[in-house]
Amino acid sequence: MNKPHYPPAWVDRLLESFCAAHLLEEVQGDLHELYGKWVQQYGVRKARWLYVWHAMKFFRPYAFKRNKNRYSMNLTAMLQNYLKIAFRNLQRDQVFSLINVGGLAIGLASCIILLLFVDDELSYDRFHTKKDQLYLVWMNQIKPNGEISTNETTPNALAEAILSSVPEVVNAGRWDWGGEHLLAYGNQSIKKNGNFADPSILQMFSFNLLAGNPETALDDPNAIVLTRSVAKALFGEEDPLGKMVRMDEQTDMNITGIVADPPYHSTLQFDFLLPWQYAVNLQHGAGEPNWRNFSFRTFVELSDKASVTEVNKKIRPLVQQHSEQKDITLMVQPFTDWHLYSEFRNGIPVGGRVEYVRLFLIMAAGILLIACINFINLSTARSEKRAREVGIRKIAGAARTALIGQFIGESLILSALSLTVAVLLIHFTLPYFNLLFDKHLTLEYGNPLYWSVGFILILFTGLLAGSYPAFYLSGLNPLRIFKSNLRFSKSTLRPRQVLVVFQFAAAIVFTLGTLIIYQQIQFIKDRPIGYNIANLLEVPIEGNLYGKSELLREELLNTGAIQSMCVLSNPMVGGWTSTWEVEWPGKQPDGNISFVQLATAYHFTETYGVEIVEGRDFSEDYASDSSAILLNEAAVAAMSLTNPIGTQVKWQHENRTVIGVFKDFIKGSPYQTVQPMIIGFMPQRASVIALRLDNSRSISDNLAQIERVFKNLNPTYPFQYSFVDARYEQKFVTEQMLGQLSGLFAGLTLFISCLGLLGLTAFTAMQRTKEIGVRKVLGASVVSVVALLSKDFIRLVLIALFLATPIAWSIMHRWLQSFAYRIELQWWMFALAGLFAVLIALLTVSFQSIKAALMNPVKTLRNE
Amino acid sequence: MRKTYLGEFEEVVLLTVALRFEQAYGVAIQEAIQEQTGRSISISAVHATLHRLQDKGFVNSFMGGATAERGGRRKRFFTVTPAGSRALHEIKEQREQIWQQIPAKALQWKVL
Repeated sequence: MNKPHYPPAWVDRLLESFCAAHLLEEVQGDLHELYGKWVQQYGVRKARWLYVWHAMKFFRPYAFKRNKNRYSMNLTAMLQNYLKIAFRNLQRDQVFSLINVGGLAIGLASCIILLLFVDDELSYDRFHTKKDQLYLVWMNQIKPNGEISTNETTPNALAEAILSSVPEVVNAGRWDWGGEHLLAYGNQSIKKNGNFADPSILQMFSFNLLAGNPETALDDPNAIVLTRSVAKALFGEEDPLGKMVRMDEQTDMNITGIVADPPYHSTLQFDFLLPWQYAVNLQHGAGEPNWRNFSFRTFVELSDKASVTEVNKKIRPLVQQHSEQKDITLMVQPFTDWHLYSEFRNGIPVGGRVEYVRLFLIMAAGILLIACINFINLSTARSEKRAREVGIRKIAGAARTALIGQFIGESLILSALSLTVAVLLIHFTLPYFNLLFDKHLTLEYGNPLYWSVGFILILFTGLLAGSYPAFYLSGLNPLRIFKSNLRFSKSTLRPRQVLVVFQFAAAIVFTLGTLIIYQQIQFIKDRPIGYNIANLLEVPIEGNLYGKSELLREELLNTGAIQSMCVLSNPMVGGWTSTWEVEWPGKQPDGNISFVQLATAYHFTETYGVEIVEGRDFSEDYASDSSAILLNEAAVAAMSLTNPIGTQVKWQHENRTVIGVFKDFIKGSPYQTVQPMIIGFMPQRASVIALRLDNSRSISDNLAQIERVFKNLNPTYPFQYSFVDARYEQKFVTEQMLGQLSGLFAGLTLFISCLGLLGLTAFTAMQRTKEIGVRKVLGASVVSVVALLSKDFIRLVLIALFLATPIAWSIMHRWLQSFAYRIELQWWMFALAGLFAVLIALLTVSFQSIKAALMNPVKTLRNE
Repeated sequence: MRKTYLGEFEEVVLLTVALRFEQAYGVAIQEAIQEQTGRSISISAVHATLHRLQDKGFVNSFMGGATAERGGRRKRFFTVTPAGSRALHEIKEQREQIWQQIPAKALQWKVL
């Protein structure tokens, strides 16, 4: 045994690769010692095999285990150090930290609120257990002008026909448009909104029936199913089941069920349900099955495996088969799509509220991105201060991964902090948003989904915002850091300039959007309405009021509370009906026009303040006026009548004489052009009483006197009235909301962008401290230094303006196209938004640059 | 505190550490077990058990005594801690207590 035998080296290397470092020495030592013995005992060959075998046997958990005692103290110490440094950095520059955390928090808060909106929109109608099998029938009608109009209105005979001819449909139910009815029990009476529904509706939809049998609750024609809140209002603590309520002072209805109030996320809303059979008995238009009256919704439930295309094929021609109306086809759409996809063009769903969902998602992502950009900008701006720390850590032996971990960790801490602030912000501002947008958004603190989204947001923003400083700083060469004053090259500045340009472009787009939306709203508000909306009151005709309008008018005039009164078929602000079936002399064969139709009696123009331009209003002095009509100027123009007065027009299947032409007034949307309109003398169609108040007296006195008269004539019904001007104001709600939303986001993006700009200025000012010192020593004035520092940033904002203008122009141009009555985009709007952005940017920049310019050069130049 | 459990093989190893007092390291313990019990045990099992005993606080260890045959590598010597000593004594006493109470006839057969 002269030559010592060594065990195979590859086995040792293998051991080294998996065995924990602190165990390696003893393990290898023992193995080598044993190897020596094996060689003596069995010879080299077998010893080698044994060596491999026993070395392999160390491939067990204990050998992988890192020694806890040896490193764990150090690790916690390092983590403690990281945390300490992170918080010291936050404390050292409190303004900076505030900007950083605040900016990110605001960004996160808006992002989360938008996500809450989206979540809210997406959760409509999802509570029905059969939601995947429920469909709504839509009607496509080819209009005389070739367009297809799509509505969810179907004839009452359809449900039966579908059930008998489409085997895939297991259930079908009708649902009317609902209406207000007076319910009375004992001395309690309330007016609530009820819907007529087929008995099958309660089986198809998962409205929670608290009492009663869903199979039979709507079978009896005199049954009624109340929601819990209505039952509570009428019966208090009594058990309502089996009791009677009196409806509309006419019929006693037997309560056969109590249903939980429809959830907020239900498109179908009602206060009580009435059996379809009752409507049939009432001959409410729902009566005999017919294919002419398209006034009802039809819901169908398909069997599990039904193919929707097959069903559509079978449902499509049903109206054509059963009636003479050959221009109508039918189709079904998932019931759950109703809320989001309710707009159709040429019979194809083109969107609806889902567009808001998309818009909100894009905005959420955009805002979060802008906030993250800021965070990156600000962190990088401060990195010069951190560079020395990085240098020391590297010299002390920190690995790059550890440094990356440190910076990412810091930004995760900051984003967690921001999220906390954001949640607080949301908690306190959400009620305001709910009020503004009429929503019921809540932060569900107990919902694990919300927590996981929060966690993902922290991770996402933390990683995104922390990655640039982390990778950039950790890659710095320590030698470079200490050798000279660290200079970041232009290349590191460039991406941040791009980011600032991007931010400002977004902010300018929002600012322009806000400006233009408000201009448009103001423009529409200033548009002449065509009648006098002030001091105008409308009261529905109900109960005993039918046919008593003359008596009412007399009594009201006697009180002196009103100046005039008339009746009308529809509220002035609200719905109307229209017709294509109008004939007049000189009409072209294909000259069908859609007319808005209203019915009234005497004193219409006087009460509403509509101006007659030719002829006269209906008058008691002419008996023939009972078959007369009035036209508006738009109608005269559309019919190309040269001498309208005296023209015979066939309307509502009878010949009528035009006795007057009135000035156009806005009936429908104030954003659209005024449609041709016919007002006919038909007192029997009246549903609304209009009152022109005497404005020389106080409104409350007037109302009190009017109420007394109404109560006298119609004691059981509560006196319900609405002011026309208030209802007119309602027409602007959507646009006003859009304006507020846009304004909010303009403010937010501008604010966040300014934070970014502030960070960038601070950074360059710091970089150029020496240069500024030298310039000042050589006699530069403060103004010139400020100008020097601000120039670059103003240039960035100008580039942003340049980029934003075409984008904003195309978006706002498209938006305005949806209004027939609209403002023109003008150059001064863009100039104003641009000026605004430049001013704000200048303000932000000057804050830092003045500070830099005022610095004492002695201080800045002293230490080299 | 839950009493730490000492397995059969752990007990043997712990006893061997005591047996090779001041000379107890991996190979020596493996050999001693072989001598005393006739069991052939792989070195990795010994190592794993020794480290488990150390985690349980029954042995302490220190490095030292490098030799040429180990390629200059040091050995890890193990010593029984007071806790280990107490545990061994306890086991021994328990066994003896049980033995004393066993009727002689119950265990007539033994290795001769």
